[in-house]
Amino acid sequence: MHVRKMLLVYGTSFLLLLVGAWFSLKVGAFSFTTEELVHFLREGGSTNEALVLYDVRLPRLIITVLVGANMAVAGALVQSLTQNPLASPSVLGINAGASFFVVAGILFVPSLTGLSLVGAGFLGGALAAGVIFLMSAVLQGGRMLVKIALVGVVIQSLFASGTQSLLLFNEESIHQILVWLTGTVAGSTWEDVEILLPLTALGLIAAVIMSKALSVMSLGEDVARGLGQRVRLQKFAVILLVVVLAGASVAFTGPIGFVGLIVPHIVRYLVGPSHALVLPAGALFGAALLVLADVGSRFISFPSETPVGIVTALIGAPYFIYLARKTQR
Amino acid sequence: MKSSLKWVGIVLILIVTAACSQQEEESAPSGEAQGIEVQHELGTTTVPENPEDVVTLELGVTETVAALGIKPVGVADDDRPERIAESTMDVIEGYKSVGARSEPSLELIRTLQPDVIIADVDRHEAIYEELSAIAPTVAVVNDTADYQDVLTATETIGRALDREDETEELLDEHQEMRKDLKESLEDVEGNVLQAQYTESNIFEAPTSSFFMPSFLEEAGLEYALQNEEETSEDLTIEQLLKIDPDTLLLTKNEDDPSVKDQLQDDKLWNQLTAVKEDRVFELNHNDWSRRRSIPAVNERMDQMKELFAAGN
Repeated sequence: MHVRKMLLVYGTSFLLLLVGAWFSLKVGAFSFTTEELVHFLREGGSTNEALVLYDVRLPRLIITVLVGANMAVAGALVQSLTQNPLASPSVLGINAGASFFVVAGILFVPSLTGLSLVGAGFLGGALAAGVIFLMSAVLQGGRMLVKIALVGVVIQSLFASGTQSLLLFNEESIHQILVWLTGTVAGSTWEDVEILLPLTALGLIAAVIMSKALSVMSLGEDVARGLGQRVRLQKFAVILLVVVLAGASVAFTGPIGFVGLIVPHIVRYLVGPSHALVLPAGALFGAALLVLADVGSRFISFPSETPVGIVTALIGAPYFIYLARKTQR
Repeated sequence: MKSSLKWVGIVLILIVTAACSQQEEESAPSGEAQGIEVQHELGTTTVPENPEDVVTLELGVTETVAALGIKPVGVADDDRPERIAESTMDVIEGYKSVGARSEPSLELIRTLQPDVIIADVDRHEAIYEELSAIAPTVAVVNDTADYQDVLTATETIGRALDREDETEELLDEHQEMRKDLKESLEDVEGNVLQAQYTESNIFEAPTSSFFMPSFLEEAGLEYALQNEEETSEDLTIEQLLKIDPDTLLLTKNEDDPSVKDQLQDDKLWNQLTAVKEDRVFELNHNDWSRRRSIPAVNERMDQMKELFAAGN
């Protein structure tokens, strides 16, 4: 019975992902018939259509899958780290830090483009998370989990107000940043895939390896310590993982909201609390959700682009309210 | 019963006197002022004749005011005077900055005691009342303007500054230049698209309802991105390739790196007709996008002739 349910959950997620991927390749300014799609995928070619499919749609699809999976897994990790069901990677300041660094980079170092800007975003996210972790480790008194959440809010608002003031004083230059700040997978390239794919693979494998320890940790720090877990080290490792998974994703696509928040909940509802099941299912479901959201975003002002972050916010915000109300009861 | 009636009576008297005194206050200044009535986007405003001290809150407005020979006392320049064109700067040098266009300092404007304020409809509608309390305020469309809007705005500004003859002269000269440009662009074949390349590999393209594209159309060129509602669209290389303009005008800030260099190895970029035919031009974003005024477009016409003469 249990196995059948698992198969159903994984099977459905996978099917959703496949359907999403199919439309993701098919829908856009150039349209393909099914035969053309199969033909171009198998044979390649040098026509505009073949190039669009191979150099625009395919890398975009792969990046969307990776980012969706990363955000969902990072969200699940943060939620169990902070034992707060309403937490997401942004609690660790990753979005705010990355945004500040990218905006500052664009404004003050115009020569910073492409991958070096992605690097700046990653650094910003890592720095914010590092500061939050260090401050909550150093500050006396209180529980670590509570301190992370509180310090997180402070550091986040600090970076966010920094970003806001940069935007305010450079109003004419910002339109180009706004697209990134909303979160977009449009314009992904194979170069992006080459970097994000290995990072994602490593991060996801590490997360699954750690899943048992995570489950013990979610019983509470004292129990975990009693069971012989090295709690502080594990926490550090989890934060490091979140920085790699979410930080790298945000650096490429900008802060795409809500995937990291809602996917873990949906998956936990379906497969139960065990991290060994939640993490892989979350990765699959997160990828499917973001791919479908990306396909949806293309219709908003077809054939022009609308950032996918708008669509995830549209789906995520009502669900978040539902979640918050449910948790209250 | 009696006493309550008394109270009602007192209250009524108070209300009536208050209303009267208010009316007096309101009617007094408008009776004195012998001004010009200017109809504009946010209503009708009476401005004094031959105003001297003018505050401008949008770049295109500042340029137009300068072109009419008036040096504004206050300019919302975003504290970036380097973005004001030289021809305008020569006239307005020595002005006082009143802050950002999106958030001009009302306090600074008040200390300048202007005769007229010229604002932008989209940006300043929310503070229109406050501005009007400082000085008669005229609002024109500039931030999201197309060519026709700017022509209208120029006329409105001319009227608000009591410089209608000069305005007519400016516009006549402009129409002459535009006809001349149109003649020299008559044989240009193919369409044209303007765009700014941004981070995340997206081209932000102004549509036919934005200022420069709508002017290019008036000058007889075919603009490749039509949209009545939005003034700009985000395109990836895919949509750009679908549009495949014959000429691509890429705007960038001076210190931004060359887009052509960045994209030279991009397979899809190299499929573009404009790239193959060497019809991609990198232009100053300030001149081609931010400056929305008649004098600004006058200054661009020689460059347009050059760009499109080269293709023929």
